[in-house]
Amino acid sequence: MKTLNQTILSILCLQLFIGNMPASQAQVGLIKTGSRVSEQLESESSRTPSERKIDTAIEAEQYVRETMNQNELFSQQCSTKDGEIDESRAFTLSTHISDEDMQIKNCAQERDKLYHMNKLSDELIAEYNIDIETPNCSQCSIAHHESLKEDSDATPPGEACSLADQMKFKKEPCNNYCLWKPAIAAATTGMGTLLVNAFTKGNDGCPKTSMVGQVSSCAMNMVKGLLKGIWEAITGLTKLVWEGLKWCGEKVAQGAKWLFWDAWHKTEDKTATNIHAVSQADQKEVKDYEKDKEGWLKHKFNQVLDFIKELTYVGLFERESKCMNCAQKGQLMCEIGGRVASDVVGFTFTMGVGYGALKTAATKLGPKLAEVIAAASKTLPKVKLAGKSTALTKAMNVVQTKAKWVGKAVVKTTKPISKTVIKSWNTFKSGKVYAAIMKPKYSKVIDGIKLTGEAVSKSIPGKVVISTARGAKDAFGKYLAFDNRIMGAGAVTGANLLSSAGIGMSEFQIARMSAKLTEVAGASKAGITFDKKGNQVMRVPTTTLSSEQIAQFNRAGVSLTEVSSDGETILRMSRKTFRDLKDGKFATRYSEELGVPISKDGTVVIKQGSQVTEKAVKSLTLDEVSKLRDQGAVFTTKEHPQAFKVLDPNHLQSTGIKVGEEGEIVVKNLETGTIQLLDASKVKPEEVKEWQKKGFPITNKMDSEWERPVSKLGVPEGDAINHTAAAKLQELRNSGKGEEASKIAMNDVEELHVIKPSEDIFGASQAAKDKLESLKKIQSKHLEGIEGSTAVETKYNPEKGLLEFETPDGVAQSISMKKSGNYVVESYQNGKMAIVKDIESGKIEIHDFTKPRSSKVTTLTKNDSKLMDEAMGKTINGKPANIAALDEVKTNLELNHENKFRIIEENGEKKIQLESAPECSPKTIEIGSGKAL
Amino acid sequence: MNKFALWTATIFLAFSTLADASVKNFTVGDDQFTINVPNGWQTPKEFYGFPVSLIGPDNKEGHRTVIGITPSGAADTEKVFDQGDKDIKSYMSGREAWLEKFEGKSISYDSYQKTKWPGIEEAHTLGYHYEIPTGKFYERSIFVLCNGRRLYHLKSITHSEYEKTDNKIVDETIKTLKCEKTVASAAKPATK
Repeated sequence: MKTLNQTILSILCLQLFIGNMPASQAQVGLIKTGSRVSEQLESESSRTPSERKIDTAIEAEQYVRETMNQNELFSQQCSTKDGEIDESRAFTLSTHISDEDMQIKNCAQERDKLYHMNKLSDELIAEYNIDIETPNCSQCSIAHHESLKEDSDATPPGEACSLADQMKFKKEPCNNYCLWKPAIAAATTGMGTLLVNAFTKGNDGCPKTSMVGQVSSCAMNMVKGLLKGIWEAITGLTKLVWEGLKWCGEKVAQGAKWLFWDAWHKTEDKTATNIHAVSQADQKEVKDYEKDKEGWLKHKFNQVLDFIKELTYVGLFERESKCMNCAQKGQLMCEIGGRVASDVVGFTFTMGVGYGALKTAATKLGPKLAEVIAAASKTLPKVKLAGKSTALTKAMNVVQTKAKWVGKAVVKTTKPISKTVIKSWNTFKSGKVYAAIMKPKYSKVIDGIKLTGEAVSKSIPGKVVISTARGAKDAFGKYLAFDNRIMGAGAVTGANLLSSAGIGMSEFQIARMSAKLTEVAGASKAGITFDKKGNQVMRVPTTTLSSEQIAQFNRAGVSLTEVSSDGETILRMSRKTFRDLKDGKFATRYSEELGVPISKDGTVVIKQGSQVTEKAVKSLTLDEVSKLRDQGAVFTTKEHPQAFKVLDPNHLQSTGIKVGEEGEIVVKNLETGTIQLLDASKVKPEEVKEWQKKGFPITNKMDSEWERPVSKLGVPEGDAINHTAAAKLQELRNSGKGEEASKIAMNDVEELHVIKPSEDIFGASQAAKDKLESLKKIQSKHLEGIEGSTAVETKYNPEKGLLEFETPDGVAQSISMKKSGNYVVESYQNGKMAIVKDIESGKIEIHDFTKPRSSKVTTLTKNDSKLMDEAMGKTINGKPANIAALDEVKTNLELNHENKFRIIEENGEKKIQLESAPECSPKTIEIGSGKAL
Repeated sequence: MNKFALWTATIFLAFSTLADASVKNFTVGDDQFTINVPNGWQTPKEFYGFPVSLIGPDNKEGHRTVIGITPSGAADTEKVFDQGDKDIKSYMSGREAWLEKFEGKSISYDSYQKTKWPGIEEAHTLGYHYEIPTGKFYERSIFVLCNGRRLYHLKSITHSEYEKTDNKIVDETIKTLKCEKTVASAAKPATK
C-alpha cells in the first residue's frame, strides 16, 4: 500500500485535476458518431462545470443508443461462441482499419468501460422514465400506477401546484421508485473504496483520469467536498499546507516574505483540530490504523458518507425540495452532500467524537445546513408543470428539462427517452452480452442460503436476491444487501449458513457473523457453534485464514484470535467480543448500519418498550425515522394532537422491523410521540370502528389483523434476557391483569409497565361510551325495523300550535309544538314514526303515530342529540358526516404524505389543499448549474 | 523503612516515567529525531495528518494525551519570533478565532518561553487552557529548531482531568527530543 505521503499528493493532484483543467483541453463539439463518443465523453469530463454548455451535452437517449452500439461492437469482437467474454482479445472502436483515430485496446479494458456505460444507461433509463417503468410499490399508500391514472388539470405556470400534482410529488419519496434517496446511496456505494483505492494505489501521485470516470456526478460532488473538507483532515495536513503545491508542479512563491503567524494560523488551526481527532482515537483504532491504513480510511469515509445519506432526511432539505421531482431532489442532495462534506462535515469530523456526534451535528448545525441547502437549491431548477394532459403525459413533461453529469459525460434530456430505445435497452439487457459484461469479475453466485427457517435464496449475476421469511430472516436479507453495497456486489460468497439456538444472540446476529465469516474466508460452507457457556467457536473446515483475513474480520467488528487445529481453523471469539454482543454493542453497530433499532437481545425491533418516552423517540436516528416514515409513521408531535397512527406490522416486518410474531399492533401517538404496542387479541372490531369514527387513521390492512390471536409478545424464544420479561408478563396475565398488560419492554425487565385501558389511550371517556350505548338502545327500541329515513317539509301552524307535514306516502300528519321554530322532521316507517329536531334548542322528539298523538317517546337534550347523530352515523365527532369524511381524508392525506393540508371552499365546494402549497413556477434550466463547490 | 530507602523510593518514583520509556527514531520532514516514548504510549505515523504522534493510554474521558510533531515549513526562528508581543497577540487572536468556531472559550494563556535542552538548541513555547463543548484542555505549541535550519512544531494536548499526571510526562518526553541528523537526500538548506 502506498504511504499517506503519496496519498496526500494524490489528493492534491486530483483537486487540481478537477478544478484547474485548462478549458482548451475540454473543447468538444456535438457528438455525431458512435465511434467518437468515448473520446468526446472523456474530454467532456475534464471541463469544469462552468465550462460545460448545453451545446456540448448529449441527450440521455443518445447516450443509451451509443452504449448499445458499443456493446454490439464489443460483442462482435470480444464474445466467444458461447457468449462468454474473451478478455485477451484485441478491440477497436473503429470499424475501418484505415481510420486515423483507430485505437486498439484489449477487451478487458473495453469491458470495464462498458460496465460503467451500461450502469449509467440503466440509471438514465430508470431516472428519466421512472413513471413508466416502475412497478407497483407495496410500501406506498397508493400504488404508483394508480397515481398515473389520476387526472386533473395541469398547474398553470406561476400558480400553486394542483392537488394532483402535489400528490404526485408527495408520493415520490417512496424509496422503491423515487431515485433521489437511492441516488445518494448509489453515489456513495463503494465510493469510500473507490477513493481509497484511487488514493492509495496510484503510482506517482496524480490519480488516473479513469478514476474520475468511475464516479457519477453525484459522487463527484461529494468527492470534491470530501477532498476539500475531510481528506486533508485525516491525512497529511502540514504537507498540504506547506509542500503540496510544490509536489504537483505548482511553483511556490519564492522569496515571498510571509508573516509567520499569519501564515501559520491555518496550520495551527488544523493541528489544533486534528489533535482532537487523534486524542479521541482509542488504542484499538490506532492499532487498526497501523495494521491496515486502507481499511481504516475506508471506514472513515463510509462514516462520513453515511452521514451525508442521513442528511437526506433533514427537514430543511424536505422543504427546499418540495417542488422538485425525484431526480432533482437527488441532484440537490448530491450538491448538498458535496457542500456539506466540505463545509460542515470536515469541520465537525475531527472534533466530533466519531460518528455519533456527526449525527448530532446534523441537527446542531441547522443554520449552517440551511445556508448550504439554500445555496445549493438556488442553483437548481424547480419542477416545470405545463400543458393540459393526462397525469402520465404530465409525468413525462416533468422530466423533460434537466441535466445530469454521468461519468465522463454530461447528459441532458430535453425530451424523455423514447419508448423504442427503452424497449431496445430492455431487450439488450436480457441478453447474454449485458449479463456477461455486468457480471462482477470476482463474484460467486450464491447457490443456497439456509437459515434456520425456510429462507429461500437465489441469485442472478451481479445481484443477490434473497427471498426470506419475516423478522430476522428479512433483516438478514437486508444485511446481505447492505454488505453487498459496502463490500461490492458478489462479496458474499456461497454460503450454507447454519445457526444454532442463540444464547442472547439473535438469528440475525449469527447470520451476520456467519455471512461475514464466509465472505472473509471464502469458504463454501461455514459452521458456527455456540455452546451455552458462552464460548462461541466458529469452524472453517479446511480453510486457514491469513492474517489479512483475520484483520478483515476484525474490521468487520468481530474480534477474533486464531487457534489452529487439525484440518481446520478455529476462530475463537474473545470474551470481550462476546460481552459486547450480549451488551448490545454489536447490535448498536448494526443498528447504525441498517438504520433500524435493534434491541440488546439482538432482535430487530421498533422501539416498543412500554411507555417509550418522547426522548426515546427523539433518540431514533434519522435513518430510523425515515424507515418508520416509509411505513406511514408521522414524526410530528404537536401538529396532530388527536391522531394515532396504526403502523402495519406487515409493513414493518417487511423492512426487518420486528413487531411481534403474531401481529401485535404498533400505534404511534402523534401527540406524545410515543410508539406503543397493543395486543391484537385485546382489540375488538367494534373498537376499530370506534377509532375510525373518532378520526384515528387505521391502515387498510389492519382489519384482518385485529382478531388474530396473540400467543407471544415478540419475545424471542431461547432468549435468556427476555425470558424473565415474558414470565413477568405471563404472571400479570395469570393474575387477571393480563388485559391491561399489552405492552412489554423488550430491552429491560426493569422497564416493564402496564398499559392503560384502551379507552384512556384514545381519549374517549367511559361515561361518554355508556351514554352512547344507552342512546343506541333507545334508538333501536323505537326505530327497530326502520329502513332509512326521509326528511319532509314542515309548516308550523301557530294558531293550532301544530307542526304540519306530509309523509312520503301522502299521509297528513301534525305534531303539537309549543312554539314556532326551525324544525327538521324525518319520517320513518312510511310515516308511522317521525323524529323532530329543533335546530335552535337541539332537542329531539321521537313520535310514534301508531300511538296516541300525545305519545312523545322521548326528548333528548342538545348534547344527547349530538350523540344520537353520532350513533346514527349522521355526524362524526360532532361534525356533519360529509364534512367529517372530508376531515378524515385530510387526516389520512397528512399521515400518508407527511404534510399539512387544509380544507378550503371554492365556488361552494369544499376542497382539500396542501396547506403550504408551494409555488411551482417554471424556470429556465441551467445545465450543469451549481456544481462548483 | 530507613531514610535512605525512602529517599531511593522517592527518586525512583520521580523518574519512573523516564525509566519506563523506550527510545524511538523517526524522520519528520528533512530531519531525523530520537525521542523517549513512555511505556504504553502509541506512536502511529501520519495518523490524522501528523507525521508522528505520541499518544498516551486510553482514559475515562476518551481524550488521550497527545504530542504531535509536524514540520513548520519555516526555517528562521529570528523571523518567526522577532516581533515580541505582536507574535504572542497574533497567536492569541488565532486561538480565539479557532475557539469561536468550536463554541469554546479560552481560560488562560501561558507566557511565551524560549528554552533549550540537550539535542535542541532553541525551543519557543506557547500554550493555553481552553474549554470547548467536549471538555477542558491544555494545549501547547512548541517550535523547536533542528540542526540550525528547520523549525518543527510540537503540539501537545491534555484533557484537564489528566493535567496533573500527564503534563509532567509530556514535559519530560518533549525534553528527550533530539535532532539527530539531516536526512541525506534532502540535506540542503531550506528556502528562507
